[in-house]
Amino acid sequence: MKINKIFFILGFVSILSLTGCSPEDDQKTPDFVPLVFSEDFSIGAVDDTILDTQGWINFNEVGNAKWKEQVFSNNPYAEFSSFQSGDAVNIGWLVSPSINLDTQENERFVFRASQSFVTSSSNSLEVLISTDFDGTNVTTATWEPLEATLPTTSSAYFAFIKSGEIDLSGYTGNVNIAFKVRGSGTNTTLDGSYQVDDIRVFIKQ
Amino acid sequence: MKKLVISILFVMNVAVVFAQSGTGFTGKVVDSKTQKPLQNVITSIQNTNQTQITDALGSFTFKDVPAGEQLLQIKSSGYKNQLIKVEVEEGKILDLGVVVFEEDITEEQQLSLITITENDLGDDNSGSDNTAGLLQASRDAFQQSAAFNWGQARFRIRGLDNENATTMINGVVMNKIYDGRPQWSNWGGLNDATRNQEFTMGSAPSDYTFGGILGTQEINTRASIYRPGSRVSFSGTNTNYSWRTMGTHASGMDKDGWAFVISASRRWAQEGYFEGTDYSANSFFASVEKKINDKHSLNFTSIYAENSRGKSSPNTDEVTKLAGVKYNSYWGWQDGKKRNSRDKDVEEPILMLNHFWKISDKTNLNTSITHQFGKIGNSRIDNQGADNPDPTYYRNLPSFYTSQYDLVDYTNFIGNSPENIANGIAARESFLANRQINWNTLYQANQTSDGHSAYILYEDRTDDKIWTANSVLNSQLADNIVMNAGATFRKLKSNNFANMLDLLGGQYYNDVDNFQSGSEQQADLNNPNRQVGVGEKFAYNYNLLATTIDAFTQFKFSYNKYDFYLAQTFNRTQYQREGLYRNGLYPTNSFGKGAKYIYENFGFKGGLTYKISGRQFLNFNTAYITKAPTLRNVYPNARLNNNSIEGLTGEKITSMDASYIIRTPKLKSRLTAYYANTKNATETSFFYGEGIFEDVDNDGGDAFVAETVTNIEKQNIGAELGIEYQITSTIKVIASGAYGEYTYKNNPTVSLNNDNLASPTNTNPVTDFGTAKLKGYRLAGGPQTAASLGLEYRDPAFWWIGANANYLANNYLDSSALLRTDNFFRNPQDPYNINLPFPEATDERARELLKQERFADFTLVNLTGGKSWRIDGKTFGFFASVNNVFDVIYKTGGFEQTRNANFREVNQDVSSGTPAFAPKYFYGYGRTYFVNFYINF
Repeated sequence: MKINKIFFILGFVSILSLTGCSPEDDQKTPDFVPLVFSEDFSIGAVDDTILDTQGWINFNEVGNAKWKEQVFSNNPYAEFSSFQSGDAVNIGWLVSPSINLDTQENERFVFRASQSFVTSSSNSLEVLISTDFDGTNVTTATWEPLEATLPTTSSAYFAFIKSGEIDLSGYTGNVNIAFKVRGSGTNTTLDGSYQVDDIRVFIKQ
Repeated sequence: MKKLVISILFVMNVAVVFAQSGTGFTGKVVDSKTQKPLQNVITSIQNTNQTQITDALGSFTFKDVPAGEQLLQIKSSGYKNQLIKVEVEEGKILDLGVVVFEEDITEEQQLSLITITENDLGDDNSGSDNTAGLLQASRDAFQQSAAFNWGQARFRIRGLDNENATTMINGVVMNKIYDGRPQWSNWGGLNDATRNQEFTMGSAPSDYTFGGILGTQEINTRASIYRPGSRVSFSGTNTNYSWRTMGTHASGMDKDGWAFVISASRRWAQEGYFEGTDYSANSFFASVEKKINDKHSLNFTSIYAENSRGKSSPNTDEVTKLAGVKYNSYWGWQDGKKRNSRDKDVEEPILMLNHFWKISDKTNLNTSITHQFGKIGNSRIDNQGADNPDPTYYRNLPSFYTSQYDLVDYTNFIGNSPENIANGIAARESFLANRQINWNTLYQANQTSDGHSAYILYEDRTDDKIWTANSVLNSQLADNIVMNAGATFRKLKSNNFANMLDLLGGQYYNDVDNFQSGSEQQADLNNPNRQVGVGEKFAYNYNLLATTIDAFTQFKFSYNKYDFYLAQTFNRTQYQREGLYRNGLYPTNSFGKGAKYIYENFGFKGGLTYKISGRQFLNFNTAYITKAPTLRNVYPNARLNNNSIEGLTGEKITSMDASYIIRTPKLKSRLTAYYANTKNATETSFFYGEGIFEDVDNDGGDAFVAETVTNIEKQNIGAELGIEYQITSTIKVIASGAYGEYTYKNNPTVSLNNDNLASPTNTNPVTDFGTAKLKGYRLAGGPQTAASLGLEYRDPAFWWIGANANYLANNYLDSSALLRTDNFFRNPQDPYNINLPFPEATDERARELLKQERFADFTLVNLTGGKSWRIDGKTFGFFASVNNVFDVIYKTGGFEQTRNANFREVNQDVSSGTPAFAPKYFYGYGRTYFVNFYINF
């Protein structure tokens, strides 16, 4: 009888010790793949002010016009406009913070852009990438154009168009992406605006 | 001379009979107070099959008992079990003389229990119901602690929902086909009449049914088994009702073979423990038996229990801080009275005819036909194109302002802006001044130009009609083999609809869904634009038709050292929905009869008892059961359409337990280890979620949805211990402990039905959300750890007192499955439709936000006592208990609000420090008392 008692106390103890590893150890969070880079221009956005989104370089290569923050219907975005700038030529760069492409593979880049009052292809938006930008001197860096679907003169005003997935897997190291707009504040055929939003660099699964 | 010879022969003959069966003992059982003989007392010799029932003189005789030390058990409902050591001598019939049988005054304790089983938690079929009701009359020390001491804290034995237990009246299963759970209110308040009960624990064999893995409860209402007499009692308490009165009379069997029992009770409260919870319950019971001859008896039982009570709301911490633990948002003043908007009304009479057929000494066949009908209604206010009248609606609370973030910059917390702080303070003042439903404003709002009501009070009604035919055969095939077999046929027609209760001053209600447009607004395209008056059906109306056939066989074998049993069951279930309305959202699949769904299932179980000695046993049980899905789970959107969950097959349950049992006259103890695994379980729920779907028309992806979680695997593993030790003849110590781990063992699949996405081409607008990372989360529903220590003093002068302390721990919040799907990270405002996550999302933060809340552990101290007197042949007694003596405030359960369904919203809400969609909690009772006076005559 005593032996049985001991046996069962041992059994009880062993059950308790078995359960010593808590079930909480099994818990996992839902799956997701973090974005490599993302920008919605929402942090610190103030409608119709010079864009100062953290990490971005807002560089007016020619003329006085700069990229601006705009908010429409609670959606903030970046906009460059030469309209009434007074400058004959405006070239405005919006350069992203440096993006590291070494820590993952198969990166894709997407953004959305729209236009308003753009009537000439010379009033252009370009999307560029650089692997040697030093963080300050925009014009001395080497910029390669990226192939993207962009709004045309026939696009509806302010209707964002998806860029399509741009393959960045051929690039390594730290890169910067730039949106470069050319326009004129004096030539009314070249004083349209471009809007850019929803910039993502993600890992294609 | 002749006479002498005959008499000598006769005497000799008697002597021969004695000589043939010489080894055993005899005795007589009398009531300790009245000294009258007790009939129908069960006497049995432990460790053997031998059982006898005392005759009219209270006598029993065992004539064929192995020599040596034996344990005689004497039991009868309402009396303390007795275990008597008998030294049996070969060739002698030992006369034990008079065995004094003492009334079990602790049974009065049962009366205080009913309050728990009808609690709100079980209302919404949340699975939080506890099993206390199942255990009212159990003798097991552990089960007694679980029922009396831990039940108030929603402790559930083995963490199992009561759909795993089978509740029967006269062998007829009372678990509902809809959700597999019994509706305790159907016989609530009839404690005297439902006192004759038999229990089995775990998957141990019952004589009446195959059963589930939690146990079985059989309530026997056969009129002849009640002890003749009358009883009247009156009780006061401050739980969910204030007063109860009950009267019962049992006739006993008369010369002509008639016996009857009648009982009635009323329970009521203007306001129960929680604010605004009114209570009114009337119950009637009658049972008549006619003994036709020695072989046949007929018994007719009728039970009518009507129960109406106001429910209380689960509340967020914010609301509880502002308004207190007893706060209930469901009621409001009207004409100087507290009117609760959420009443539960149950009225489902039971009519049962039983035929008891004693085919032979060894074989009984009991057959019954049962009809149950009636209604269950759950009322609530509906607002059509008007503000939500709920005083705790999130826009009415301070947190709505103080949790705000900038709509443009999601990182910019503006809940602390001077404006929001001022608004928060104003909301606080406004809430405190308007903390209840304002019925008057609802009546005013209904004074519309065209007479339509914007606010209505309606009830979700279920009107069931069920027929049950059932036969149970019990046969002693051989000295050591008993067979039980049974078959049950059930046919259910369940009409479900919305029923208008009160137009709140308006003339009529437009039966359309304002959230839809065009023909999609129509509740019934066959009768469009209906104007609904009081007592009319509207919104939805359908029948659920179910037919089930169950059969089981069971063989029990008894030998000197071993007992074992084997049982198997087969079940066939057929479901069909019949839509009575053609819903505007689902014109092609809402009206008329839908497809038939047929499920065939089976179960096997077996067990073994090894008798180490007459006092020590080892017991093992194992079961494998497949169950048809419940009606509730087959039709996740039954109100609107005939759709069912694709590929639903039902649960597969595996259960095992092992026990060591010791029974000596002084010490009774049981130690059990158990394992239960449920695969393929399904859960359905409804809620309003934000940010779940793609952002359409800038609605942020918000929608009212039905959530279905399938393929759930649960594991309940643990150990339970009960010790009862008689220190002296008057002092008893009882110790019990439970340690369990009840967890999700896999990541189940989540899908949502969103009516907004329904269209003629999309008749089943179900979106698959993939799997939820629930593995390793604890199952909600009561403390998983419990310990109890109690002392009881029983004075020979018929009074007793007891005290016990109970520690309850490891109770967890119900985790939302949807929140734990990959959707959690998906940014609904992302325009690319490629499931990109929120940029700010991190695994680390997600872990913090999704961590399961464990409620604070707590200790409850309870006191009980009672006394009874014998005056002029009548017994007077009282019983009193104080539960939770130190008025400890504790949470019994709660759930996450899924309104915030993604990382950004949860992160903002939690980071604000004053979340607007924090979990809602249920609280246990603080200090409560129960006093009962009774007279038996």
